[in-house]
Amino acid sequence: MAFTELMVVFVGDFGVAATRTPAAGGSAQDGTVIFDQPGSVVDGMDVIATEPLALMASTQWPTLAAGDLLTIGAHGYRVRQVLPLDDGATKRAVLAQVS
Amino acid sequence: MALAAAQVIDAVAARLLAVFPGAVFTDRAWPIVTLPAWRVLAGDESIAPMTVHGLQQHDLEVELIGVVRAVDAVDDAMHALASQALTALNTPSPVLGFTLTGIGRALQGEAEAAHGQITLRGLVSFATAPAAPDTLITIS
Repeated sequence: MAFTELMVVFVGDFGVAATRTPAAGGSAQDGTVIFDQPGSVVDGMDVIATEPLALMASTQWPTLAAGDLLTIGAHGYRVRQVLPLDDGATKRAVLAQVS
Repeated sequence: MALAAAQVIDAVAARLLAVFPGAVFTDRAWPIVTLPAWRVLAGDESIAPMTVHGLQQHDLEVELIGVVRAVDAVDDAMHALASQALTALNTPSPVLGFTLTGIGRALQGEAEAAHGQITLRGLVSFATAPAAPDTLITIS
């Protein structure tokens, strides 16, 4: 059976509100992301850190790029990388918390 | 008393604690949560007989591993951390004759890519009597 749910519905079911502020300038843009922040031990440093990640539909913020700021809840995150996933319908932003 | 080398580590760590209260660790088994922080660890220790009183000279490699988190300018943050530590180690005089022998740097390359590690390597020489390994005799 085909998976027919719309991506916007999928992200909406599990997502949270987020606001993107482009590093290149321009107005802030609202959106929805699935936000995760698993913990890990930084390789070679024996330091416990979190790895914040935002998953979203690829159609959201098509020009999202490294350096942009995402505000999720009470915190700000700098985008480190933007990676398309699987068939390209979703993308993942690797984040670094800045506030 | 502890083995003389452990006393050296404690003395070096005490200098850093004055500048980084609560953020200096001498146990390598536990991951660090709050940054910036330092680990002070004993490395290799060479021992050779001295010509006086049957004493042994110890040359202990000491590693001071500083870790910092900075989303921007992590290199600058690492260098500032090292500068503070070196000032503490050498003021008013080098702790137990600590001599800096090298500095290493490493950066987190994945995920947040916000962690930097700077390692200060140094040497501390001291003496002990063979039957009194816990009595540190300074020779600096």
